[in-house]
Amino acid sequence: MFHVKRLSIPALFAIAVVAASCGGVGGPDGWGGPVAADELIVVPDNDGNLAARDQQGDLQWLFPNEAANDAAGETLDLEAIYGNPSIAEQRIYIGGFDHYLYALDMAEDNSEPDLAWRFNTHGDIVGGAAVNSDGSLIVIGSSDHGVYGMDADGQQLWRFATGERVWSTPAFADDLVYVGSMDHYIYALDFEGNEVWSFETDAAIAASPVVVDGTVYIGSYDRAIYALEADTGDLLWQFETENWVWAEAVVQEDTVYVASLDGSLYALLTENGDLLWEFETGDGIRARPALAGDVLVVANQRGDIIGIDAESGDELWRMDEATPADVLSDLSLINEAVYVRDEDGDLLEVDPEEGSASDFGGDREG
Amino acid sequence: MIGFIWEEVLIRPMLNLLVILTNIAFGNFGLGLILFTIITRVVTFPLTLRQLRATRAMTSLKPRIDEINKKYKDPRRRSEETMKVYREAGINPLGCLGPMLIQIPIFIALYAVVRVALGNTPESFIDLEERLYNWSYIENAIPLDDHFLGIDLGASGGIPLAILVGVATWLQTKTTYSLRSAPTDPMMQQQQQMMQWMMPLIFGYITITFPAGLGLYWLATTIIGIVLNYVAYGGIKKVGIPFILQPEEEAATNGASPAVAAAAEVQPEVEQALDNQAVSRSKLKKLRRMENARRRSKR
Repeated sequence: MFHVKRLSIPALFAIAVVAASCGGVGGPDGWGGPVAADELIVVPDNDGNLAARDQQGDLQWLFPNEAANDAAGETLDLEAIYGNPSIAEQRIYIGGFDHYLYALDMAEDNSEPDLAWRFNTHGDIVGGAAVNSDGSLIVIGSSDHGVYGMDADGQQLWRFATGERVWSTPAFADDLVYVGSMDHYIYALDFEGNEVWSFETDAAIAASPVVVDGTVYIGSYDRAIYALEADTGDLLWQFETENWVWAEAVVQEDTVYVASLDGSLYALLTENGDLLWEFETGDGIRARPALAGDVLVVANQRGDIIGIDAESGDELWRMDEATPADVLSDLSLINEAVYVRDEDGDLLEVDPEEGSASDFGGDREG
Repeated sequence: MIGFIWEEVLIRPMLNLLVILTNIAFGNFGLGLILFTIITRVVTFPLTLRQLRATRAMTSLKPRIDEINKKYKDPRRRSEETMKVYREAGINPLGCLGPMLIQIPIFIALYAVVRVALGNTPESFIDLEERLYNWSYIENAIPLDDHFLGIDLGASGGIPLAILVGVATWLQTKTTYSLRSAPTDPMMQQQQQMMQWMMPLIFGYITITFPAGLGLYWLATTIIGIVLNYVAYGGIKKVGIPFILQPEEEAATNGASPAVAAAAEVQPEVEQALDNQAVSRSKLKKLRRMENARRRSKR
């Protein structure tokens, strides 16, 4: 009798483990946000494709396409796109979870783009690419712990090694490029990939830096937002929130707006980090808010979309759980409308003045 | 409700404990996992001890059970008599299953924890953050170093780890079974032999299919199990490894309860009475008392 019971134990193990595998953490979906590309809006879907829509939301093209597959000599599968697409010199740059950075040449008639080149970083790409002012240097981080510098032809110019994954989208300012790493550091590199300075926080950095008027603003998993001197990396001030700061900060004039996974949006004085106001949204915020005039539009994870008076921090309007799925993608202001992409790949067009929203295609139409 | 208990009582505490242990273990998740295994083994040690005692007691009762098997052809009667002997000896045969059963929720929860803790997608980091306690010591530890001796603990385990897990499981099964005399029932013999090969194959397969962190946990807990077998009753001796600790002959009277030792040496008249059920319960008790007194005076 007991032997029979013992026989059933490994079987129980196997069944239970297989059952447990049915739920929980899934594969990569991607959370790249929408970006304007000439007359189109390009936005990654949750199948690893880049979709281009016209102003009415009609799908114009999807990448990868047949021509790109032919050019690459294989069926392309980006798996997921997490970084926002970067547009420069009629080119779209997207980082794929398949390790590759893709450069697409846009067509003048908004038809399908051509694959100009792709570059293998040997690690999952989570951040977006940064392009300098003349388009001669493209910089992107990779989960292989490296930061890559490439020329416009996709040739590697340099690789800067950090101690961990690089999920942050680099930012150019003057003659330096700034990028955060999961090794706790933010690095300032010159255009040859040499370290000019670095600054250590207490935890991993997945947020992207923003550089405005000689100051670098960047959030960290240590719950703080840091303001650093862009030339030297000296700490100007830091502000503590109650959870990870993953969203990129938004800066306007003398105010920096910081969203935290603690569910609050903070307005701070750029000069010294003093708190101007705090707005509690009710759920964690991963997505960068969008500033439309005096209205700051923020979306938390569960899909509450809220319009806030940027100066006073007062709530102007609110749409609770406006999206069917979570919102983790950065919000974008395009042609006076704010676009919100949810984890199903659906896109909402939000009128920041009225506080109304309408479906703008997404996977359901695509 | 079950989901809440599963999440708040098992998954979150286990996840946060693992992150703390990883911090203590120089930020290495593999070492943290080994520390976790040791802690789990310490916490479940009372159960393990009960299992070891029950197994040893059952071993000492083996001649008596064999005799019952020979004597009674009716399976129901045989089962009743067997249970009676176990009851009189003060042992619960299901006590052997305790440590094994407790491993099931731990193993499944650990599977969920490893997937969350070592997920490589940004979404998994969001899931992870939601499960971490609000303590900077824990939250600042992310991301965890998921490599241990060149093995990516978040990815499916490779062949070498699966072989190690398989060999360790085989050794543990072998040492556990070798404590007892081989069963006389051919069907049981067959089942036992099948178990010796099935367990290593299943856990080797799990190691290859699921995150290597699970394989590492199973390897560590199995090695501890083998050591416990060695320390408790010299199971390794029977598979040919020299052993200097407690010989098995002493085990019946040394580690097991006095009732077990006594039951192993039941005298013929008591046995006869038990078998025939020809005497009243009070008479039976009296016979036993007399027999025990006789045994004590012998010593």
